[in-house]
Amino acid sequence: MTLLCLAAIWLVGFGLLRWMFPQPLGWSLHNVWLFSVGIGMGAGVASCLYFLTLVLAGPSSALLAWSAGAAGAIALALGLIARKRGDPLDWAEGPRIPWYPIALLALAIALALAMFLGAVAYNPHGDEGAWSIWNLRARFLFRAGGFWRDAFSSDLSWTHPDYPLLLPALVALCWKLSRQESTAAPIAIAFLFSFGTAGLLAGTLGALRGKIYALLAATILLGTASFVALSAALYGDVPLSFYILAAIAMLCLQDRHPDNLRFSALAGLMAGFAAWTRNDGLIFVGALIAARIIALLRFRDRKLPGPQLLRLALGLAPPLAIVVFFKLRVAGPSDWSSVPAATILKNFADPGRWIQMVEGLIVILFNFGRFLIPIALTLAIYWYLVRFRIEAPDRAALATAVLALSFTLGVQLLLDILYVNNLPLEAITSFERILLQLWPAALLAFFLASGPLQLAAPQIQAKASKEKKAKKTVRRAAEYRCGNPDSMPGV
Amino acid sequence: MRRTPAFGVAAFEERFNEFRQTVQPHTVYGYLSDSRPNDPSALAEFHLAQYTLAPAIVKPSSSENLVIVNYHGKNLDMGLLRANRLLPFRDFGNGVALCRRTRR
Repeated sequence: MTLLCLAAIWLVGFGLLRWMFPQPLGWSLHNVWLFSVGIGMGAGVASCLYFLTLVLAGPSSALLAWSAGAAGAIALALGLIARKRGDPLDWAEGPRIPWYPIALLALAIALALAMFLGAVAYNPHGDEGAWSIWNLRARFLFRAGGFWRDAFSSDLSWTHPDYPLLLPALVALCWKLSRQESTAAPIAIAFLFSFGTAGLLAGTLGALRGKIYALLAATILLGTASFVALSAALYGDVPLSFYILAAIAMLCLQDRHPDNLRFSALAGLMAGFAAWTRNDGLIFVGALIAARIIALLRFRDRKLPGPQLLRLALGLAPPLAIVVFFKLRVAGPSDWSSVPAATILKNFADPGRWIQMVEGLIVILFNFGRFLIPIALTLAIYWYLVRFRIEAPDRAALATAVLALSFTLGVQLLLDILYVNNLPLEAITSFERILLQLWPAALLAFFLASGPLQLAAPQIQAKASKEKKAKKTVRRAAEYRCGNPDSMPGV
Repeated sequence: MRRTPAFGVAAFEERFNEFRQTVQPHTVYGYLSDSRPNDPSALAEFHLAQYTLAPAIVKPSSSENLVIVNYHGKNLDMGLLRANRLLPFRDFGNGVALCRRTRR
């Protein structure tokens, strides 16, 4: 029943997206992309709806079921009645794909699946940070009835009562609708977000650059063992990475389809859901807006496209309003509010902390993702061989991505320096998590900038080699006929 | 402790199962453990107790009227209770007891 609820939430997301980008149903890149984005869309909408119902009408299950049912019916009806409009997302032209990138992706999917299932079977409640924060809050929302605000009590300050509610509200909604508290809900949500992120990355790169880049990026993402492990630990970082990727992907698609402003609106909505997932998402929202304005000013002849930015703001407004309301009226005190200004200044002026942070980053650069060969080195070799070639229509989008990710990372690290007490411990426990939040979007930017990649298909190679061999045999036979017996093979 | 079968969500939910059924929302309990102060699993055990007993609020303090005692020995440590001005109220077994704070 829990899984059915989640499937319904996913369908609601798909319905809304199909209403925004309607194309015929069937097996296509466009629909795979819609299904991948649909996970985040459904999760975000359902979570916001649950929170609003809770705030406005209390924890009544009947009312919740009615409102969820009505929203679901509306979303599905919108998706079904939508008529074909605009161009579908289709595979960009690219080189012929040999069999081995596909086999590698299949292997990465199988390994990621095995790793995820193994981890959640061993640890169905997730890691301590997951159950003691996210799932604990979901339990309060589900079990406490009218006292659901106890979840944000100052007596529970160690549970970070200012953390936003996308995940706990979504889990609690699944439990409410299915009337049972099961670990299947958080596990299935984590599963959908991690594989949805890979689907979204592959779908977007497939439409922007072609199949080979889509295959490579998805293989690297699912081959990032710590990404899969973090997802199975049931933390909020992988859903956040999904929304960061989605927001940037929409802006990349916007620049390729300048007439369809719905991409900008969806980018805003996804950024808003990022803020509703974790506090780091709020940093990303600020970084994205600043990055987009700078990129458009730089690459659009210093003219800001008002309609695009307006759509971005319109998409961002509803989830951001919910986040602001939550922070002002519901959430408990922030961890940061307890740190005195003198400590912040002292931390800022301490060069040792900056050195510790750089040391931590260098270590992470080589350990990141638990690859056998450091991924930074692999990508550096790839860049050396293939180089970057950025097409003119992608420049603003790529600049937006690079700036937004850099600003987000910079602010997160600065906050660590200013506020975190035990920085070496933070470097060990959190730096990789912070980088993983940005990793899918960084892969999108990397492969969007990648130069043309030519992989000779083995079939073609084999055919060419067979033809060459046949020509050689004919030539030698001719030479033999002309009286040169040494030229005949085996003579 | 972290490697023992008594640690982890499933083990704690089983240990606290009987007590959990008596818990009401909006109740605040204190929490006391016989773990050594430098035991690294003591904090995780407190978190597990809170996770298990939600929607009640569990505070890491023995100054509440009702205090949950998480003990690892065979019997409640009466010296620990006296030192914290607590009186046993109900022992749920499995190392879980509810105590009342004395007025003095």
